[in-house]
Amino acid sequence: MSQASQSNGFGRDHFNDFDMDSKEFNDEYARVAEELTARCPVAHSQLGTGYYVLSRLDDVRQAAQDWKTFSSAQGFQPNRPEGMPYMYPEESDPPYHNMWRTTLNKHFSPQAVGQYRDQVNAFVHQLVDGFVDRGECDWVQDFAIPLPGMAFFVCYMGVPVDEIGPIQEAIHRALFGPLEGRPGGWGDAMAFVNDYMLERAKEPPRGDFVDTVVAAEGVTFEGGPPPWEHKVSVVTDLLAGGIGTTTYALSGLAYHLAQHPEDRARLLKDASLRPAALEEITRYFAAVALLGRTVMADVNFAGHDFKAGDFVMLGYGLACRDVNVYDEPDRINIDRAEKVNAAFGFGPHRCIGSNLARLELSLTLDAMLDRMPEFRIRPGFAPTYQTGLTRHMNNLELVWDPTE
Amino acid sequence: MKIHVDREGCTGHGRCNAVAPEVYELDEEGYNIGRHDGIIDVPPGLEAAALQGLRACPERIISVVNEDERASASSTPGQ
Repeated sequence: MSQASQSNGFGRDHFNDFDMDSKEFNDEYARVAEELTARCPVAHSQLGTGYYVLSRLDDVRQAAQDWKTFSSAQGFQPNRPEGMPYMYPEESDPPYHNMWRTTLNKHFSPQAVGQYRDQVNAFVHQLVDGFVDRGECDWVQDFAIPLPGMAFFVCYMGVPVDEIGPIQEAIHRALFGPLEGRPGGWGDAMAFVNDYMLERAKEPPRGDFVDTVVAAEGVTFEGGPPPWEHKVSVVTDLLAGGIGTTTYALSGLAYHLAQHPEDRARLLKDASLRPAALEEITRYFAAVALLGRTVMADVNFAGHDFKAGDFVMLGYGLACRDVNVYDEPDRINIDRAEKVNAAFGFGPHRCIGSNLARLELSLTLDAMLDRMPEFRIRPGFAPTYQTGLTRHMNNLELVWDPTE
Repeated sequence: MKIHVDREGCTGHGRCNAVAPEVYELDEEGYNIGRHDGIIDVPPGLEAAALQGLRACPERIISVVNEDERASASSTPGQ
């Protein structure tokens, strides 16, 4: 922390004056990750009450696993606005957290996710049908944003496919719209979820994910059943955590293939290379940049003396680019020997939807290779990003020869 | 070869099963099944697959059991 990082030509001292919402972090993301993991395992932010940033893979893993020292119960964002409602189970610790996870996990295991394969595949092809003959698309807007919502609302929530328009629109505003419209988008999304769950609670159970949340079997809060608001927040948390993040990985997948026809050719020819290639894509395009924890007791960790009450960000996206772990972290190498990454987190809060995300990525890759001619980036186009807790690609203009 | 899975630390990523399903089984909730106190007797010929599954575990809770250490630990008087 004593070394300043401006000497490396950064527009900001990311070591001592870190700001996840800054333009500099967004613009210098890959190099910041490499510099932090190389030289500054505990960076510091001076914003508000201040926070720390862990970036090395081993440190991030250890802190994420040690939930007693690094608690989620005071939320995942630093300088949290007063009175902001908590999201469950993400912003809670065991045992309450694990009660929810135990009852929810059965809907997200590889086996459980597999039952939605045909439905998700139909959505993938429906979206590709929408533009494949056109010879161009904005992959982010036309594919990567709509797909995760279709999969979640239809497969998991059981919303009829012709009724998902309004909730898709609200989520789009909440996650990707102009900043000033995002709280309104969230309000509309939560109202939809609340009303839908109230309706479903009156209907005979279907045995699906919604029924599991409503029944909350085995979940107790302060000696009784969990409050209704917690149940609504469980669904909202999955929306918030699952939709935009999958969008970023899907965006990155197309961005890479558009620039690397040699990888495309290999993946087309040898399907056995695809799973590892997708792990590498999720490493490189890890959507969750950082998520926070509150230090519960004085502890020396990663060479720093933390005090109880300190706020620490676990840099999942940064750890995916740890120079101590990955050779050339800013290069996508579909044959990479190191198979583990931090994109889906670690410990009790690890991403519950990772297998659903992998299913969507896998079916998308298959469809791109089978259905879309070799595509490239529209000449002159370069994507822009937004970074904060999560990272997002705003647009991706692809072109191809539709008669190919 | 014997493999140990620390079931307490398993959070259900499912990567061991994804890369080596013939060695690592998952339960209905997606956790490593960890039968027999988490000790897996790797069938001959599947050692490489077992190691692939070990390396794929994000939590780093899968390890190779050192037979010599186990033998000496279990034979130490008073333990």
